Amino acid sequence: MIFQHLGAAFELVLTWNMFLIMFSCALFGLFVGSVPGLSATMATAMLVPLTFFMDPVPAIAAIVTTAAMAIFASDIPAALIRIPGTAASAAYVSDLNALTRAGKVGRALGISVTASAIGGIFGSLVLIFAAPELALVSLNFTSFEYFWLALLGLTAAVMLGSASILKSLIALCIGLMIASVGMDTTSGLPRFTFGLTSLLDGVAFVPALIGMFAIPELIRTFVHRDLPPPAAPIGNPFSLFRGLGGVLWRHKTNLARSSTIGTIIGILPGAGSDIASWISYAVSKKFSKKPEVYGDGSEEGLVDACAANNSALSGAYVPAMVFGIPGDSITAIVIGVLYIKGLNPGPMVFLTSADTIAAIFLVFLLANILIVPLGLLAIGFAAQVLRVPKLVLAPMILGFCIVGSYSIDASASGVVIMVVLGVLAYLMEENGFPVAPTILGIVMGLLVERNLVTSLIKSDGSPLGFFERPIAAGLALTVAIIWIVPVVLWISRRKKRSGETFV
Amino acid sequence: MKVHDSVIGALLFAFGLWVLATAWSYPEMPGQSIGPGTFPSVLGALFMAGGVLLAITGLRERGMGLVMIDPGWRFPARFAAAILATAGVVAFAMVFETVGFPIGGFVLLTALFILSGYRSPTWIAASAVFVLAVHLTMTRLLYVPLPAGLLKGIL
Repeated sequence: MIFQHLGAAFELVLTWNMFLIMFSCALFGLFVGSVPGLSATMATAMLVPLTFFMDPVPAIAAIVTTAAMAIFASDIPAALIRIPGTAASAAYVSDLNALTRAGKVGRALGISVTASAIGGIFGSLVLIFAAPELALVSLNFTSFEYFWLALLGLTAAVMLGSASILKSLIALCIGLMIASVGMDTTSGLPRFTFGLTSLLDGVAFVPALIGMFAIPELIRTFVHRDLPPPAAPIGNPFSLFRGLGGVLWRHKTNLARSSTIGTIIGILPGAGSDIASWISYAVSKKFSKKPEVYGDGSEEGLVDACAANNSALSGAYVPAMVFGIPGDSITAIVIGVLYIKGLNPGPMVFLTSADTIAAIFLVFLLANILIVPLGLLAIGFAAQVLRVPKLVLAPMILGFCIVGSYSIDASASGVVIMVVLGVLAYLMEENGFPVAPTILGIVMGLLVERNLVTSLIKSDGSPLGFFERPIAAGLALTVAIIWIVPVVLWISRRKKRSGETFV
Repeated sequence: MKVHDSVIGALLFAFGLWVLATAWSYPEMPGQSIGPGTFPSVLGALFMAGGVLLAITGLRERGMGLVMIDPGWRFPARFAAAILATAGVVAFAMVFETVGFPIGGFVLLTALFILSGYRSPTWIAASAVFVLAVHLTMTRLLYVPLPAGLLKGIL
């Protein structure tokens, strides 16, 4: 299905304009990724206002390239100063740094750059082949299936995070609550607007996003001032590839396994590259012949985790394109951008805008291939980038945030939303509430509510209708299992523990 | 700022109660048992339940004060920078159209640089160049109508 549109897709992608956009976004992504504390999601959020003025394909290209580069580049500070640039590198930061201390920084970053590219290309291929097929199946979905699918996504977001399940659930409810502000879609009644006309259309998504990701980081930079240690020097960047082929060939099964794990985790709504790298690192350790070196400079673990986090990035686009349900917080942003472009994600987009979809797929491959040459460049410049103190960047980032949240609909209310939700996010993070479920709640709130209300109207208020169709029932069962299993485990563990204390 | 889980739980409970009360005040759709209040009521109930659970687990854990503040907040300059970056930006938003981005942004950035310890004229120049570059890129290249405010007619 995709192949007949390849010709038109190449025409859309292979232009000087696209090359310029991808190249500058790659540099931007590399920069943001290698400054600790600036996350890939934040980079994407800051890019959104710029993408409003681009066509759909360049807009997506900008986001995809930035995110792919940022996720790779976050390995650089992990290796040099033992601080991961983004959460996606947190799983293997001690391995990277141990290799650096052993004088093998070239090898470590060489593995990181190539494994990232391989994982990313794998994930993109899965996206290219699986998404159109899934789209065909999902053409038959009704509001019942969509309701369960959305609930499954929200469940995954709560269960898979590293924070406490209770706090993740509350964070999710906060997001859903924010989404229900504004005019109700079915009855037109204004809800929770406090009489403010600027809230009638709901809480603007982009300012919310910029605020929740950037403001907490800025407050911490201004107030907490945790300064990073000095960077370790890098020798000749071209030594990166020495003996690399051997390492990768030895771990070829690892590459295949972790790319698969990463893609699947990416596809699961709510779980992104950070969780992918944690899980595939753990799996790698479990099956390794040398589990004792993990955390102490394991090349094998590095291959696994680096491939997984970049493949998850592409996998996350599968549910985003097919169902309009984000696979992670970056795709949550992309969905927002696609809606603004009139390219409403969902199965129909594969039929109506097949050329654009094929072009977007090509962009994925290109962005991941670009990781290798541009990554080398970034490693060469890394020492300089790391010398820029975050404190100097903070006021300028704030400037970008203000401009970004104003320009969405040329209204200062966006700036206010950004600050208010940003302060909320700071307080949440300080108290162990993760922000990602909130973002997902904001994006999916309308989808969940609309499908719930439509389904209830269709079934005359009877809950039985939610289980009558086979796929809906299957999804419902999955959601139920995910919720029940941890509770059962918790109760059995408690029983065991109380049994031990009584004996 | 870390607040004890039991306090957060109580606040969430109160918030849930308010959401529930507001949602119940919404009219139902004619002939339907559901309406604009259905979904928010579910959320309100979840907030109340979550608040109670959080308060209970919070009460079990001891050894933390009701409120703990990061030591960074005790430095007046850092405190002022954080307030400027939040409340200051809201105030800036209120007069965004009249003051404009170039002047307002320049004042904000310079103040933040000074509060962060970058006091030399270089940094004042840096904020001016940065704000001007962003303003011109947005308005001339991307056609974002950033207000020029006080500098209307000049920029």
